[in-house]
Amino acid sequence: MKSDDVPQDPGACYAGKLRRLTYAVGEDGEYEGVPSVGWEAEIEATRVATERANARIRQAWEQARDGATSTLAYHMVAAQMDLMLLSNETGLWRWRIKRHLRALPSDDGLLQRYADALGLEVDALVALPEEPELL
Amino acid sequence: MSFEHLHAGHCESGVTAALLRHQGLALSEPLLFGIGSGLFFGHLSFTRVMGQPLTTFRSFPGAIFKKACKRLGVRVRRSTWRDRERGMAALDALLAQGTPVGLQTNIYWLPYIPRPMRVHFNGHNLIVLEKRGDSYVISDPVMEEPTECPAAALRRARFSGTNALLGHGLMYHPEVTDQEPDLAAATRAGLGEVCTRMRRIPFVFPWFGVRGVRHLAAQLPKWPVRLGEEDAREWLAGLVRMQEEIGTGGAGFRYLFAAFLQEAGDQLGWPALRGMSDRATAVGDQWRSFALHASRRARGKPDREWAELGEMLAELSVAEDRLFQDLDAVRVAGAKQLTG
Repeated sequence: MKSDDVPQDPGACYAGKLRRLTYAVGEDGEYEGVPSVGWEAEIEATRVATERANARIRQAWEQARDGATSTLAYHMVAAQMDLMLLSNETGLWRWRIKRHLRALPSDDGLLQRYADALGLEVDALVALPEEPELL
Repeated sequence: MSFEHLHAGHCESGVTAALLRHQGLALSEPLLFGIGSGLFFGHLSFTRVMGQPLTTFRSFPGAIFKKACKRLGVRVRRSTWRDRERGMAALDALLAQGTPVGLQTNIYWLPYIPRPMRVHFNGHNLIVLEKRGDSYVISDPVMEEPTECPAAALRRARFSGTNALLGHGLMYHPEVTDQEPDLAAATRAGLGEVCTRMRRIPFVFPWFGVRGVRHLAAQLPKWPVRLGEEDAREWLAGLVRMQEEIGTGGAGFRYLFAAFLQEAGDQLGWPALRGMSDRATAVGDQWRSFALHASRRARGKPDREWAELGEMLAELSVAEDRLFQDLDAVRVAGAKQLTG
């Protein structure tokens, strides 16, 4: 890729916050780092991923609101985690977490552990936000 | 000594370049990426990370720094911590001495990274420069300028997960003793490892190297059949993101590697190596073209069929096979020449 061809497409999620360094061949045939504000392929791929993640968060929020799952299930999805990651973060067995996805544990220590893993306060963990927190 | 921030294509080679430069060993990011043999390919079709198979275009997190330092004769100080408090205290103690420290973190917990780029990836490298009140000054090579990060967030990012593979609060810094390392030997070692990993992994491990690209080429057209169109498109989007998003320098590190070949060829007076750079660039262009068509498919505005995308990957596998075969030949011939 030539330096002039380094895409500068608008609409990247990081637009205005950072530019990404891309390596390209300059006029003189030498490689150089060229900052890029975004590229169509990456913007579209990120958009697809974000939309799918948001759909999951919305669905998890509705399920928790209807009482089909516990608020932990919602917060897990909102933190972009799945059972494997949450188990990894808390050090708890998956089958144990599965139970807590249906109903929150009453043990304060366990709640604290979940809250730490999800980067929340315990108060926030046991509550459901007014609206789903989308990406 | 004041620290000069480095805006880099990739976090780990960027951190390595910036830390070594701070110690007086000024080598570029591409050189260190190549010497640390960062280039790789792996498609672990049997794993699931957030429901998707893992595809990687580079070696294991931490390996570039470790290998580059080893090959350049730089001493590495690294430590991991079970106890988070002690891990943070050790970081503060080093910073108090004025030593910039490299950290391995989970990028998800870093608040200065734009939200959609924050995924649970536990191999993001950054440099901590100093502690300022209740926050840290961070020189993250992905960013254009140093940024501040609250202490609690950095702590969370550092200590993420209990899995044995993860960072455990890894912190590191180099100690340069030899200001004139043997670049030729380091380059040869870096090249040798990349060629081996790309082409000589036994066939019982079909997920790695050029065989891994072929494996992905065979798998990808089956995705819509197995998963349905919508989920298959999500996987495809994930693949493009791993290739292009956050710090690959473009084309899944292929451009960064081409830049390395060019610069190493010039520095060592090794024209054949420089010649290989154009070949690596051409492969990089092919990857970019794949990413573009794949992203359109993922978006639901397809201009290529699934089978055609698989075909593009199959061609890439052949192109990379030839590239690394020839590169290996150049390396062996050059080794004879350079050592007389």
